[in-house]
Amino acid sequence: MENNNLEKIITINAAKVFEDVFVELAERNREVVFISADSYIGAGAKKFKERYPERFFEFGIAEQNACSHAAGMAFMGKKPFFCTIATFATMRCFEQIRNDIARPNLNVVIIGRGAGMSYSIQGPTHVSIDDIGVLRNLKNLTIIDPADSLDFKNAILESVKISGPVYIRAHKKLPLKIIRNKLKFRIGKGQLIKEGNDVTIVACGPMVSKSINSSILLKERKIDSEIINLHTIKPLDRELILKSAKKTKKIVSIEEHSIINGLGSGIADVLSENCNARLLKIGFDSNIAIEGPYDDVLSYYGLQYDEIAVQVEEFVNMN
Amino acid sequence: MIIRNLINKSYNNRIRVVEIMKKCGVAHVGGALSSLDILTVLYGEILKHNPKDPKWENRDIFILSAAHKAIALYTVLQSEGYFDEKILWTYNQMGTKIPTHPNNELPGIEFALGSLGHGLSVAGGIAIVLKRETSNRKVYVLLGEGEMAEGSVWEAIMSAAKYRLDNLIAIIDVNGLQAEGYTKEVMPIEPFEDKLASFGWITKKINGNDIKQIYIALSSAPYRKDQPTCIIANTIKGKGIYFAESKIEYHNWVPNEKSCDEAIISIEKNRKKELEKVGK
Repeated sequence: MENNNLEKIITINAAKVFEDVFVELAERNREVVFISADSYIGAGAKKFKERYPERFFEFGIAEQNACSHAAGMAFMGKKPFFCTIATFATMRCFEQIRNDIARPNLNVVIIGRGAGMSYSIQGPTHVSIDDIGVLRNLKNLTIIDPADSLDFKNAILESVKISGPVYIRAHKKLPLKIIRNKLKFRIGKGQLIKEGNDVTIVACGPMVSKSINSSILLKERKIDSEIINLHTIKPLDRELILKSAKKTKKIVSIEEHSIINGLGSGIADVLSENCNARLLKIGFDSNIAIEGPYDDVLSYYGLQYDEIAVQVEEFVNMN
Repeated sequence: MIIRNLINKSYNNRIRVVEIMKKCGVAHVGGALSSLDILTVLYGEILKHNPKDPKWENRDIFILSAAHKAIALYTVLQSEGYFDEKILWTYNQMGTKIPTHPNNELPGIEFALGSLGHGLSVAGGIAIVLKRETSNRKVYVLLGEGEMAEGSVWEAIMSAAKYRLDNLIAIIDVNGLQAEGYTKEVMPIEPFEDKLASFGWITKKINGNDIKQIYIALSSAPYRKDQPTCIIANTIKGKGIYFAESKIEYHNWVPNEKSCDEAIISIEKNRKKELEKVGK
C-alpha cells in the first residue's frame, strides 16, 4: 500500500545539471577550463565546449596525462575541471592527484562521473564505491557527495571559491531536490535537515533522500530521528556530528559507498575520540558488489528507505 | 669565455655534490653527475630566472621530472643564489628542505616530483597556458632515460604535439643505465629520435656532457614553430669521477670519506682536461 506521507523522489542525471551550471560558472569566472579524457559529452560539457572552445582541452583516453595537465594549468592560475568516470578519475590518476594536485594544494576540481552504484550494470571496473576511500587519505583535498541537484550545482559553484582541490561525486540518479528548510550550502558544513531525539541519521549523496523517507517510516514506529545531510565528507563537520551524537547517543551513517573508509569511517574517527555514542554504518560491505539494475542492487544491500528504516529501528532498540 | 665559465661552474657543482655526500651520506650520484652539465648550462645561461625572486612572473619554468637527480639541482640552485649554502649541509637530515627527491618548500623548486612519468605532463599543462597567452616564456623538462618506459610520458608526448607546444623543451639524459641495470636490457626503448619524430617532435642529439654542445642546442631551441623540442643528451653516468663512470653501483652510492676525497681529486683532473679541450 502506498504511503502518502513519503517524499516523492524525482531523479536527474548529474551531467544534465552540470551542462548549464558549468556554462554559468564559466561566464562568471574566466579562469575556468575543462579537461576531457574523451569524456566531455558524457560529463555534460558539450555546451561549454561550443561556447568556449579555447577553454576546452581534450587529452584522449589518457587520464594520468590529463590529470597532471590540470595540475600544470592550475599552477598557472587556471581553475581546471577534470571530469571522467569516477573510478578512472580517482584510481587511474591517484598518484597524479596525490603528488601533483593535492600536495601542492592546487585548485583543480575533479568530478567523478557515475559515482557510487550509478554504473551498477557496467561491471566491477565502473562501479565506484571505493573512490572516497582512496581519496580520504589526501591532505588538502575536499570531498563532496551531493545529496541532490542543488547540492551538486552549489558544489560546482563554490568549489572555485575555496583554496585547494575538490573532488565531487556525480551520480547518474541524483534526486532533483530534497527538503532542507532553506539551509544554505557551505562546503565543510553539514545540513541539519530534521531534528530528532532518538537517533541521528547522517547520510551523503542519494542516501540523504532515502533517509528522509526512512525517517517518516520511523516516526510511524515512534522513533524520532534526526537527519543530517553531510555532503562534505572531507573535511567532516565535526561540530555538527558531535552536537547531535551527544544528544541522541546513537548514530547511523548511510552512504552509497563501501563502509570501509567512507563517510561512516570518518564519523567513527570523530566519535571514537570525542563522544560515547554507538555507530551503525550502512553501505556496501566492500568495494565489490553484485551487478544488476540500480534499484535492485540497492535493495540487495538494504539501501532502500524501508530497509534502512528496519535497520535503524533494530539499532535503536538494541540494548 | 661563456663555455669556460660554465665548465668551471659545472665542476664546482660536482665537487659540491661530493661534499654533501661526504657530510650527509647516500645520494643518487650517478644520474646527478650525468645531468649536471645540462643543469648548469640551463641555469647559467639559458633560463630567464631570478634567484632573488624565484616566483618572478616572467621566468621560464624548469621541471625536474627525473627528480632523483635532485642533489645536482640543489647545488645548481644554491650556486645561482636561490638559497643559503647552509641548506646544502642539511641534505636528508631531520627537517631538511632538500630530501633525496625535492619538496615544494625550497625556493626554485616549481614542482616537487619524484615518482617518474609526471613531469612532462605537468610541464605540458604549464606550456599550454603560456602558449595560449602568447607568452614568450618557455618550459624546460629534464627526463631520465629509464623514465621513458613510463606510459604516461608517451601520453604527454602525444598531447604536446597535438597542442603544438613549441614553448616546451624536453631533455632526455641518456646515460645508458638505470637503477638495476643497462636500460637496453631492463627495457629497450631506443631509438628516441625516431620514436619522438614519429610522434611529431623535433629532436636533436647531443653529447650531454659537452658544455658547448649543450649551450648551442639549448640556446637555439625551439627549432621549429608549432612543434615541441626534444634534446637527446647522451651522457656518462657518474661523469667526472673516474671510478663511478658508467658503473651501475653508483646509481645510489653510499660513500665513505676516503672515496669522497678520491672523487674530488678525480673531478679536479677532469675539470682541467675539459678546460684544456676548449682552450682559452
